[in-house]
This record gives sequence, structure tokens and C-alpha cells, in this order.
Amino acid sequence: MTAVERFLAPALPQARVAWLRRVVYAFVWLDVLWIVTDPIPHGDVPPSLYRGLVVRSFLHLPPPSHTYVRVLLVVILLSSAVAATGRLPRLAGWLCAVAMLDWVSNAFAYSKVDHDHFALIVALFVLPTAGRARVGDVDLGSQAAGWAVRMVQVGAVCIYFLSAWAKMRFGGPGWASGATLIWALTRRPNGIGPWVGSHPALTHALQWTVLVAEFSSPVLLWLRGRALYAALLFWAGFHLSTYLMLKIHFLPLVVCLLSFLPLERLSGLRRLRPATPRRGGRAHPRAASGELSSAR
Amino acid sequence: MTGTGSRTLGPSGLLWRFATTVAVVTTVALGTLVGNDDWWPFAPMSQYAFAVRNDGVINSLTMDALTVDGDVVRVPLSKERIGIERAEVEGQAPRIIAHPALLQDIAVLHARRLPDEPAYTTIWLRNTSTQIGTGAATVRTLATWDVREPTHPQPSGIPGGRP
Repeated sequence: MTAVERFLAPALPQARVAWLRRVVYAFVWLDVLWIVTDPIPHGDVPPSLYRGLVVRSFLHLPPPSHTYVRVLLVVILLSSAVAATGRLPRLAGWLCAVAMLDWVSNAFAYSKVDHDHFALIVALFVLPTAGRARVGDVDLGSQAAGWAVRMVQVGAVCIYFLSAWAKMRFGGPGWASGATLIWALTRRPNGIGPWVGSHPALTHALQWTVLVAEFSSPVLLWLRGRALYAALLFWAGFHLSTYLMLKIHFLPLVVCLLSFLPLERLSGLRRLRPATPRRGGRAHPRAASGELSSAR
Repeated sequence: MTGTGSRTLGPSGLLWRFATTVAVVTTVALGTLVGNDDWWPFAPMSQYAFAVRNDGVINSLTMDALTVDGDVVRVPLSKERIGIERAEVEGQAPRIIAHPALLQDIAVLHARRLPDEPAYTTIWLRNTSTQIGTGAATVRTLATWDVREPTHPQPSGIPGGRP
């Protein structure tokens, strides 16, 4: 196995893909019903205010209409429900991926584009490539599963790293010493936000922290064990604080951070349940089985 | 049923996967380096990437309307209420200033989404500039539109789509 192969397509347990599918496809429900809910009202917006996107033109997706967005919602809910169970992983998975591409691009086709969905869209397109995967496949390593998991991780890192890059492109080197956070806190005050906004030195320290962390984010792809968990905890805390101060949560990205965790260990926890007491003694070897279940 | 062992990929399986990785990472990096929002999902990761001077001003768009009842009301720019967000109107503000008839479509959207509210007869797009530090605010009207047939407004017919 070459170094590139070990890095991009490590043999990871199929069980991690099975768990990731459950989480990601369940999140799709939350996303379309609670977070990205603009497409339904967009169905009533006169087409003059529709701006489109290259991807929508490329796929010949028409401007949204009242009926179209409702049919699309049903397609997403059904396909993600099937895909979450692990059945028809390719058919249901790719149907869900294309439908979500339509849904989210609809939300962003009226002159307001967010960047929290990149990793989720990547996840929706790569998860079907791993084929059939069961949560019991803890000891079955697969490069197809490994590549899918790595792509989700790469997608998450791209968001962080390129956010820092964009700050240099659009904000310039002085971004971290500027008033961008104060600007955001003025427009979307929430919780302790106004207090933070009244302390410019604190906002500058927070901006420097974010910028350095974003530029360092590719290290996530190499970290292991406690160092990796500490880094993930930092990002979870970052997203929690932007939610508390600005009501901006980045949940579609947070869900993708789960791909860094050894989710296959959840399969071991399931075996501890009283329903299968005779197999209770087998719960621990999974956690200690080295390479396959180690956190990457 | 569970399996054990390891499933490796053949040369072609590895090749298309690695090519996909290179293509996706290159495109998304180019998106942030030279692209714009139209490139989504490879658009620049530019939320909050702009710089704001410490002694600068914060601009915030609002929309007000005169109703058939004679009241001046704030147009509820949110996806939950009128169905289009303030940020979306801000993104299209240059278009609206150049073609105030687009405000006709705000009246149409209002009639479709909030039919129980009094209809709009005049709509104003306004900007509030707040000075950082002093908090002093200045309001300026950017566009005005007298709605055609306020109780049964018809779309402006201005074409949408990519610029």
C-alpha cells in the first residue's frame, strides 16, 4: 500500500460508514425541516428575484415553484429515510444527494450563499460509494469505506482552511484586528453577544484565535487519539459559542466532524445491552482492536 | 450477519477515487482563491471574511411599506414571514436600486405569503448606517415603488436568472 493509498483510502471498518449514514441521513431531516427551510417559501417568490447558480444551470434545474419545492421535500425525506436504514445504499443515497443539491442550491439561489454545507454535500455524494455496510461490520475493514470517511473529513477541513484563506482574500491581512465580529454582533445580537461586542480587545483575541485555528485545521487529518479529540472539542466549542453569541451554528459541518470519531465503537455498546447478555463479554475487544477502530 | 477481514480496492477503484479527491479539492480551493458565490458548492468560504474598520460604519437594509390602511409598517424580511431574507435583499440591493419595479415583486410575495395583512401601496428600500463607537445612526431611502394594483398585485415580469 502506498503512502497516498494509506492516507486517502485506509481500510476502515464498514461499521463506521453504517453509523455515519444513520447520523448524516437523519440530519438531512433536521436540515430540511428546521435549518434550510427557505426553499418552501422560495417556491412563492416571483422569478424576477431568482438569481440561480452555475450548478443549477448545469443540471437544468428550473426556478423553484410552489409545487416543485413540495415534491422535492417529499423525495428528500423518503430517500434519506431509506438510506439511513442502510437499504439501497447507492440508489437511495444518490437520489438523496442530487435532491439535496437541488434543495440547498435553491436556498442559495437568491443572492445569499452560506458555506456551511460543503462537507455535507460531499458526504451525501461519497457515502453511497461505500456500498452495503452494516453496523455489525466492525471487523470488516474496507478501503471503499475508508475513502468515503476520508472525503467527509477532507470536506470539513476544506471549510475551515478555506475560510481563513477567504479572510485574507476579502478582508486582507488586517482582518483579525478589525471589527468584523463587532459588526456581526451588532446585526445579530444574542445572549452574551452584546457584552462581548463592547470589548474590542476581546473580539480581536477571538478573531486571532479563529484565524490561527482555521489555518491549522489540516492537522486534523493527521492527529490521532487524545490530540484529535481535543481539536474536535475545540471546534465543537467554537460552533457552540457562535451559536450562543450570533445564533449561527454550522450544524451541517459539525455533523461531518463525527467522521473523525471511531463511530464503530457504538456497535460494541449495542452488544452490551441486556437483550444480548450472552455476548456481553465481547464488548471490550472492539475498543482495543488497534488499527481498525482507532480514531483517525 | 457480520464480516471480518479487509476489502481492498482494485487499481481502477483507487484511480477514480483519487481523481475525484484531486478534482474536488482543487475546485473548492480555486473557488475560494478566484471564484465567487455563483460557484456554489465550490463558492468562496467567505462568510464574515470581509474586514470592518474599527471606526467604520455598519450598514443594515430595511424595507418599509405604506399599507392600504394608511399605516407605515416594517416589511418582515425573513423566510418565516414574507419568504425572503434581509441578506437576500441586501445581495440584490444594487438591482433593486437600478430597477425599483422589483419591489412590485415584494408586494406580490407579501400578497401570496401573508394574505391576511393589509396590502402594500408603496414600498421603500432603506439603509441604516450605524457608526461603530458612537452608535449614531443615519437612515437613507435607496428606492421607492408605488405598487400597481395593490390589492391584486401582478409580478413585474423582470427576468431573473444568473447575471
